[in-house]
Amino acid sequence: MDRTDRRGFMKSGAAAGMGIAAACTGTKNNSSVQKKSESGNIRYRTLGSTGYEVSEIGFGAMNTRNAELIHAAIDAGINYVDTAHAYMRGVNEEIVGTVMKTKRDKVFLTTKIGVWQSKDISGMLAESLKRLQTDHVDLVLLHAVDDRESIVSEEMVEKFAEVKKKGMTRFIGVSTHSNQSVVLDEVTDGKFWDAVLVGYNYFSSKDVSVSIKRAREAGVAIIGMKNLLNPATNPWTPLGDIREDKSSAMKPTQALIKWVLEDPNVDTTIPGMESFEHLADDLAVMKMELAYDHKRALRQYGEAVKDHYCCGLSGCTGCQEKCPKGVNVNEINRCLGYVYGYGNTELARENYDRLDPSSKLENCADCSECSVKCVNGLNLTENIRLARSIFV
Amino acid sequence: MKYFFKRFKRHAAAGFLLIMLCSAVSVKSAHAQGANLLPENFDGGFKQTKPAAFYDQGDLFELINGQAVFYLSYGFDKLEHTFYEKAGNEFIVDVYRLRDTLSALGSFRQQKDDEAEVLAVGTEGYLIDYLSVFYKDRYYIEIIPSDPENENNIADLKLLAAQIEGFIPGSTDLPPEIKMLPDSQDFGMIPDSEMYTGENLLSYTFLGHGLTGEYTQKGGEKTLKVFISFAESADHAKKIVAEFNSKLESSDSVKLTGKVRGFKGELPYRGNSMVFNYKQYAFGCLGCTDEKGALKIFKALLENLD
Repeated sequence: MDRTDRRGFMKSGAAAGMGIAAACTGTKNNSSVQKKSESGNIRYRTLGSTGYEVSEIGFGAMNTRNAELIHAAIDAGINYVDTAHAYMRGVNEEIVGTVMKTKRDKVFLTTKIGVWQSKDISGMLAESLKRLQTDHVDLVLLHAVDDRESIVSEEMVEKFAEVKKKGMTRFIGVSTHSNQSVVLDEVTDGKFWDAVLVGYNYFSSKDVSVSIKRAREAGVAIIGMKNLLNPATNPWTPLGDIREDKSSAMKPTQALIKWVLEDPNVDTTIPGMESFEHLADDLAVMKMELAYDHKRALRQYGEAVKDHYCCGLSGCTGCQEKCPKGVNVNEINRCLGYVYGYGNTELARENYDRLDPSSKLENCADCSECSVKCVNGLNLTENIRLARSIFV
Repeated sequence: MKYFFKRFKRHAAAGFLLIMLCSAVSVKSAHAQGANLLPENFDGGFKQTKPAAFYDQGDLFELINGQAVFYLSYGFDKLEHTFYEKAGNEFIVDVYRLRDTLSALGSFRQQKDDEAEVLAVGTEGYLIDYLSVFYKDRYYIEIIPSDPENENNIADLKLLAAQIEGFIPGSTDLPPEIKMLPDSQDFGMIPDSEMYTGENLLSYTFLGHGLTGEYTQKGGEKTLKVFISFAESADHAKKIVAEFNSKLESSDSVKLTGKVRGFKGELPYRGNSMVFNYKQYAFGCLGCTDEKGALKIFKALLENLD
C-alpha cells in the first residue's frame, strides 16, 4: 500500500466504523433473513438469527502474529474476528486480546474450544476470556466436530447452555472440517446451536451446499472457511491464467473467495490474514464483481481438475480402506495430485514409494471398474489406471 | 504458481491441535514407511502403540488443518507422528523437520509459554503439565499426553523428552544468525526476544523472512523492535528498502555511516521507524522513541553483518 492507498484505506475505515458501531454494540435485527448493507468499501451481511451485521470478510487470526494488522483490519471496517483457544497454544488469543483491550465494542468476536477440551468448557472459555481481555465473546464454537454425537449429547448441550447463561458468550455454535453435511443437518434439526463454521470452497460437494442452504434458511449463521484449495491436490495452472491476464483486476485467489461470497447462504468468511498485503487484497474482494471472464476461468479450472480433485483435504475419507485388495486409493489419489498439481512426478514417486507394500498398486486386480467409489464422483477407475501407468 | 501456493498457505482458516487428531492416524498408517527417527520403545515403560505416520507438505493440512500454514512458513518438509503408551496414558510425539535451526527457533518461540517450567532438553525446552516442547537443530518436537490431568505427566514428560532428544540428530547450539542482533546489555536487548519469522516479516509480505529483536529504550513505554530482512540479493534488499520507504509518512533521509544511509518516518500502526540496507540485508526498527539509541544499535548491527 503506498501513501495514497493508505489515505484511501483510512478513509474507508472511518466510514465503515459507523456501521460497525451499530452492528456490534447490541443492536439486533431479529429476523433470520439475510440482509446486505454497505459502508464505505465494506459489505455487511446479517449473521444468521443473531441479528448482527458482520463484514462479508472476517479476520481469520489463526496465524496472525502482529496485533497491528488486526487493528488495521478493524479500522478498515472488518468487524468479525475469529480465533481459537488452541491457536499457537494460546498465544493467538493473547495477540487478539491486545486489540480487544481497545476495540472490543467494534467487533463480533469468536473463539473456539476443542472437542478434545470439552471436559471443562466453562473453564477453558474462562481462560480464553482472560487471554482475550474481555468478559465475553460473541460466539464460542465447539471446535472440530465431525459427528452428530458430539453435538446432541446432553452433557455437551448442558455445558454450552451454561456458558451462555453465565454471559460468557452471546451465541454458541460448532466448527466442522469433515462429515460436514451430517453436522450441518444436525445443527439445523437440533435447533440448539446458533452458528456453524464450515469448510466451503469452489469444490465443495453438492451435499455441503445443500446443507448450508437448509441451515441458513433455518436461521443458523454460516461462516465459511477453507475458501481456497490445496495446490497439492489441485492443479492451479488454469486458474493461474487469470493472474497472468494483466487486464484482469481480480487475482485468482480473490476469485475463489468471491465465488464463496456469491452464495447468499454464507454470512461471512474468515480468510487467514498474515500481512497488510493480504488485508488489502481481501478488503478489495468485497466490492469486486465476479465477471464473466472470472466465472469462465473458474469453470475452466473446474473442468481441468475435476477428474483429479480429491476432497481428502476437507477431511473426506470416503474411499479409505474400501478396496478389497487393500490398495490405498486415498493415498494414491494424493500422489496423483503431486503429478497434476505440482507437475512434480519425482515428489509423487517419493510419496508413493513410502506406501506400505500391501497397499500399493501392485495389489490392484485391475477390475474393469474400480470397486471403490468416490463419494464426490471422482472417476477412480480412470485415476487408478492413470496411477498404474505412472507408478508401476 | 508460487503466488498461489503462498496465498493458499495463508488462507487456511480454522485449524486445531494435533492432540485431538489421534484418530486421524489410523487412516494414515499406510503412509508410515518413512525413515523413523524414534524407536519403538523408551526406558521407563513407554511402548509405541502403532507405527509412526509421516506427513509432508502435501498432507500436513489433513492432520492439523490451517495450523499447517504456520509450519509451512518455516520450511516444513516432514512430520513424524508417533504414539507411545505408558500405564494407560498415551503420549503423542510429533517431530517436525523444518528448513533449518533458525526455523526451529522461530517455530518454538512463536508459540512459547513464558510461564512454563524450563526443561533442560534440546536447545530450549519447556514443560507444563500437559505438554513438553523443545527444538534441536532443524527439528521442533512436541510431546502431548492424552490425559492432561494425569498426576504422573510431569515426571513422564521429563523422562520421555530427555530420551527423545538423544534420537534427534544435530547440535543443540543456538542458530548463529541470531548473533546478528546486538545483544550487549549496553543496548538493552530483552533476553530471548530474538525471533525468526519465515515469511511476512512484521506482517509485510514484501519483507520476506528475517529476524526481530526487542530492546528497551528511553522515552517510551513500548520497546524498540529491530528487524533484519534477509533479501535474496543486494538489489533485492534495495527494493525492500524502497518499498518500506514508500509506506513511511513524512519520510526523511537518515545517515548511519558514510556509506550507509536510509530513511525514517512514521509507519502506520508502527510509530517512528527507520530502514537501511547493507549488502543483502534490509534492516531497521519500529516504534522508535530514542533515535540516538537506535542508531547506536544499528552501528553494532552493521559490524555483525560483515
